[in-house]
Amino acid sequence: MKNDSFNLNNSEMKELILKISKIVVVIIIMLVVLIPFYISFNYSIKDHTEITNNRLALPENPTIQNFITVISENEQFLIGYKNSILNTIPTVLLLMVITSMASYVLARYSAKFYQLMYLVFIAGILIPFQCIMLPLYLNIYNTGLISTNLGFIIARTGLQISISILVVTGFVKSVPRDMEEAASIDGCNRFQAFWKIVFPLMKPVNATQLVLNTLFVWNDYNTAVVLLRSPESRTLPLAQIIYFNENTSELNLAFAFFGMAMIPILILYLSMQKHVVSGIMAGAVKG
Amino acid sequence: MVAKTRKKQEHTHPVFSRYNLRIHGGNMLFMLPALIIYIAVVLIPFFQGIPYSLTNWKSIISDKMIFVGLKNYTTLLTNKYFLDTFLNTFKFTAIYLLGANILGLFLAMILWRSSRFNNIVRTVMFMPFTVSLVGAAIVWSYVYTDIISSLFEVMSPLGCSSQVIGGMAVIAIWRDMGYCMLIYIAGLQSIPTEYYEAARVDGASSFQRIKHITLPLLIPAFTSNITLLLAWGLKVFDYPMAVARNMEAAKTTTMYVYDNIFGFSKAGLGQAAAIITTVVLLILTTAVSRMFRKLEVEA
Amino acid sequence: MKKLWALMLVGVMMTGILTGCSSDKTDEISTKTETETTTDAKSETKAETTTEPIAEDTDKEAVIQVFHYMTQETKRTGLEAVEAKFQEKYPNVTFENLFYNQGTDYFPQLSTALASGEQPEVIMGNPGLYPDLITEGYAMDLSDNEIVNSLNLSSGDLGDVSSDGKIFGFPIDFKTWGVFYNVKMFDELGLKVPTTQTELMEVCKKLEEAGRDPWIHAFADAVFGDIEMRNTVWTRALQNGDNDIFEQLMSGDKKVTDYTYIKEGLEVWQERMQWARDDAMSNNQDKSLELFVAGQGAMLYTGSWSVGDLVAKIGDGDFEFNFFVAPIDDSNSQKLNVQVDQAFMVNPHSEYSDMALKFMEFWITDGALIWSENTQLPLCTGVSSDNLLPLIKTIAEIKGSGTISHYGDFTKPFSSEFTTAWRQSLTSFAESCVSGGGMTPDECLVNMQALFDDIIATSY
Repeated sequence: MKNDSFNLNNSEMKELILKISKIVVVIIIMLVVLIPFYISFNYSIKDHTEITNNRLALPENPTIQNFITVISENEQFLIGYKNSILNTIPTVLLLMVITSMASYVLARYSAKFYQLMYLVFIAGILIPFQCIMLPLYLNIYNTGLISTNLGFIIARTGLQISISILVVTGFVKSVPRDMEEAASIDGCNRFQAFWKIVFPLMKPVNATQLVLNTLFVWNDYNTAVVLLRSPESRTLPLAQIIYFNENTSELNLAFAFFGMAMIPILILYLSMQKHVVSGIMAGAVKG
Repeated sequence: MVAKTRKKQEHTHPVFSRYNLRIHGGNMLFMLPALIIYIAVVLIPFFQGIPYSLTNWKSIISDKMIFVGLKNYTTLLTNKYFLDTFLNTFKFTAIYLLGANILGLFLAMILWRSSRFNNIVRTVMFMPFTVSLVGAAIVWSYVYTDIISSLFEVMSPLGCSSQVIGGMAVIAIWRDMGYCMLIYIAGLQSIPTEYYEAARVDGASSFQRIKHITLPLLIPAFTSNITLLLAWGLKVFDYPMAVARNMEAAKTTTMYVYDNIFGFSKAGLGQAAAIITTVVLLILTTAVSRMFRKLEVEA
Repeated sequence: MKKLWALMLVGVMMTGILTGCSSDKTDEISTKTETETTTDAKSETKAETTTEPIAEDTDKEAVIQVFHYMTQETKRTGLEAVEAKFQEKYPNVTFENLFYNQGTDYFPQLSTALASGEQPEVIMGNPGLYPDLITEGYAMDLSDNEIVNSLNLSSGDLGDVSSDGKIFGFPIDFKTWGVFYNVKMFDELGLKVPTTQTELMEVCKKLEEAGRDPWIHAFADAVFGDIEMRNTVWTRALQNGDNDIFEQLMSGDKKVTDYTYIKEGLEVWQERMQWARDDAMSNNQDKSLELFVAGQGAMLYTGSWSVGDLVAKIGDGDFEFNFFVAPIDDSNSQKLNVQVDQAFMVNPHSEYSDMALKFMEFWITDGALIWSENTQLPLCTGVSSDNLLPLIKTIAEIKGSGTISHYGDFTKPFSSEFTTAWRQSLTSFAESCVSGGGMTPDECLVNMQALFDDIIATSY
């Protein structure tokens, strides 16, 4: 290795130094990014006295007791897990169906009306949730959907539509239109053409919105705290309140909880990673 | 955000022809499910809130309210404390927006080529985005007190009026720079390599290549990132709520809204503040995306 | 399949919009007044039934929803223990406990629930702090309640749960605050518990000379600045007969500078803050207890509510603590501050308000000791047992002796908006003192008054 580098000429040398310094910088940034994860993980495998005595060092006797305690003693944990899954999956699928349909039209037609519709959809990103919180609650209450999965799914879908459309519309513009035209010649109507031709082509961006929407819905606290009142309807973020409150004194449990709540989305992200990057790429660049 | 619109064939038919009706009718059906849910969940509640902003409605559990016209709006727009919350919000947004984008762009420029090492780094950089806002804020409050304070013998920025906005912005940058990075990577990958080769042949320095090729062609990615982060920044709520609830210097506009509607029995005033916030957001984001679209056209 | 499902959802949503829109405000008002009259009628009949022997309705079925903000585990366990005991007597009563963080979600969630017509049976909170609940009739008037009247509660305890002279809540326990100190550290250095400000300053100097940090602070939680001020402000105000100080400040008739002891309080507090550590502003309660137990500081100014957590943090460790009321001057005029902590209102509009009333009557009498032993909180009624920590018993005894300043003896408490403003200006002052920013007490008062004036100007 050393010998090789002596044989390099000046510009190759420069390039190598640049490359190494880049890697060093990246690794430093990566370590900084990982610090909060280190803290959470470290706290979650320590017992109470070890946290008090030595917060930062790795534990002498790592324990999984905290995880067991959270599962067995926080009665909201398993219910919350179940509800989070039951709420997130339909919301994300529903969003995928309706926003890919809407985005398809918004991307394909450029008449003033469609531009306006696009802006109307996107405007949702700008409305602070606190501004619609009370009317939304009252409306959902009047339909009898408070503390139900359905009520939460509808509300969360509506609140997520804007970002989804922003991401997806950009992507659809990159899907070649000749293919649908060919399909329509084959005697497909437009709905059939959409489901048969365009929807499959949207796989990368749908993977992206699947991951992004799952993140948003799974982590949602503000909507859930308003709409899910009964203990049996509450989602995972609401079960955190026991550990993250004005009087937190069970850091180890708090972080054990925190870690377990993150596992499904981390798995989802890792398994979809490849699609996510390509999906976002297409969406952003053409958007 | 709307891309350059291509000329399309759909206007070759008369406006009210059967073909057009069928096409536009079909289009409406495509948009309808999303539109209905969106209108029901977002737009109707938003418009329902407007009448309340014209009253002195005190508590949301009360029916009593008197119409006061635009008084809430004039009061707020001349109120030092409300305008201060805007200042705090703008400060936060500026640091967050610049930080997340510069770091995201920097990382993207290093990591945009796919390799095993780069993929791992990208995954790590994106991981914070999977953490909830409140979770991020709370973990960071411990990073500040347990690590930064004990290593560098400094106060936690979250306990210091002059630094609390910066301290929260760091949390937000940590969480969202991975997202920015991915968007920029996407942009970089779409730039044809021939451009660079041509530039190299012409003897352009790497700085010149960045200035004249990379940045102009990244404008769509800038537009997307800056618009979204601008909106997220100006709506910031969870961070101050979780870790700086009682600091005047950390009070953001959405907190002002929340406190007045739900905590202080000034629901009418709070609703007016919410609408002012939305309008300011609308103006700013429209201005920014217009600016970028202009750049896009020029480039 | 997916499409069908989406269409179904859309259908549901459409009906949702329609019904949502059709119930405009006038409808809501009329239905509301209707329910009011019916519940009034109901509560009249209830008043009659309560005079009948209890045995008649022990088998009545009821669901009592308790809306509260007791996020600490010990308190929730205590609540469940009281409920279980009540269920032994009334086996067909079930409980639904809903809790939220007080600082962020509690009142917003409670009011959205009430605004939509949901009616929890029991609502936690001091009536004076939630005046909207009283004016809108969500708290039962307990002025003539026999149980409450038979307990001989002090004027302050009752004042804390009253509004305009009427009693609206059940006061269960009370809180106080002062200096918790590390007994061993005091013994080691031969320090005596100070009774005057000069003595306290001496103690601080000796600790400093011995290389110890005299104080741990936790000003990240705004209540910690507030409690350091109350010793002076409450005590002096009640001495001077300014029982209406908060009312006067809220109406704007008096300014903060009209009460010289507010400045005095700031000065006394400022003297103590000379020894503040760098982490004073960023510590929250949890961190401060941890540092205290780790021996990082000799004294901690905190509330009785943290005793439970403190004991838990010590665990099997070798740590001893005790408590004294912080001196406010050199003539030993400090008094124990007392404020009702857990208080509960019964919602007369709720379906099972009669059973909820019985539950609260049970909690304040037969169920009280179960609560106190579970939570280590001193009861307003003065009842205690050997299962309580000696410190808690001592605090209860001091309160019993009457040399206290009770928040309930003020005509009105600060509203939440004024409390927020008060605490914000105190937090800025603390920050300036800790970081050497040089804000004077006078400047703090100017800021505070400006915040107060703004609250008044935006109330119309």
